Amino acid sequence: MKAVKISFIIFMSLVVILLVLFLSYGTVGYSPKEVIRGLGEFFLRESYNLYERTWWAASPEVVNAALWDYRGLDTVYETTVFYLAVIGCVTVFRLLKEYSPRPSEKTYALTVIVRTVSKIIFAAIILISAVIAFHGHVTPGGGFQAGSAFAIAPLMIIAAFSREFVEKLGLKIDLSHALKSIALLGITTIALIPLFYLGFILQNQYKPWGFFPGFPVGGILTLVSGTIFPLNAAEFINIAMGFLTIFLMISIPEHVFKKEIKGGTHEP
Amino acid sequence: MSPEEAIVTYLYAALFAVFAIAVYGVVVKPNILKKIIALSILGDTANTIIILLGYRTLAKPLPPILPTLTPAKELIREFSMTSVDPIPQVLVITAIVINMAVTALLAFLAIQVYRLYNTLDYREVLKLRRWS
Repeated sequence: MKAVKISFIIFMSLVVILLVLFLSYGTVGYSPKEVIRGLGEFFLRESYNLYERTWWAASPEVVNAALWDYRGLDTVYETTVFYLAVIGCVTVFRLLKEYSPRPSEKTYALTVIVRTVSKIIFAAIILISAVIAFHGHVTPGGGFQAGSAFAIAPLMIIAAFSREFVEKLGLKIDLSHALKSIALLGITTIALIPLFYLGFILQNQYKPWGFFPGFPVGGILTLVSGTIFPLNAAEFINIAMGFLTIFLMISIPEHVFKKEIKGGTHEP
Repeated sequence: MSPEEAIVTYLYAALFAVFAIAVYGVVVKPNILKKIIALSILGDTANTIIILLGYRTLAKPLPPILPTLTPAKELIREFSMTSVDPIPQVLVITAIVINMAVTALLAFLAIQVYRLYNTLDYREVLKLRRWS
């Protein structure tokens, strides 16, 4: 049995090494090297090309331009995968009745030092994740990154205070579900708007072979990049609220579920 | 072999070593939680390999973000000649978040398994399931 396992590991490692060698040597030669692939260079050249606007995405942040413009459909589907993963977590963890702690249940909180530092860092995380999301089309950042950064904040508060403290802040499961769905609806709406102008799904800027005039570029606060800013904001809300749902579900006490599994209800 | 090539080879070797350890963890460890940890290490290693494929061995490679909102033509051309490949980063940023979501889902399933069977060892779980 041990020999089978070890040979399987060696076989798996060989497969991956050969795959990477094939990818790097077989397609583009030794990688990394000084020249990058043609498609990457195309994105870099055309993403914010003010002088030749046929292929431009109106965002100097090439990663976000590729995410929401050139590969937009792919990102929408990955957002859907994330949404479904959260729905799967909720399905596995569902309670028949809504959980609200009884007054007799003890809640444990950490010391004053930890709580004060957590409060300060909580505010800082919210601020920084908002900056990453809403300025992500100009500077490094984006919706995915901001959502992942935000996800740490409620987790820290749950650890330092308690689950009820987070719910007192207004971050409840129902709210996070609603916001998550609204954000996904927003992404869908923005994706479908160009269709009404005889454009393409997820079209961002004007293209010579489509009739859609393109989303507005420029304006206050250097909102330069058409759909990329609203899509980033919606994605931020989707990812942040998805993780908030997961962490709120995971912090429901053990005995509540034990009773649920055994068939009783947790209410006295 | 130049120093740059030596560094890149060393990076590949280190990543493959981590990859092998992660595969070992996924296959051999009987504890479901350790399997999940190994799986997340596996995902991160794969992401790092993809990022490494998009690097540029220049003296000063730039991040794929234009530093100004009013670039001159020369700046755009120079940017496309010196910036690292954005495509691996685009692939990886979605992969990281999906990886997190999948890890959360697996952790939930592990918690549920523990609540139902009082163990995380998959052999024990199989034994307990045999009666049904």
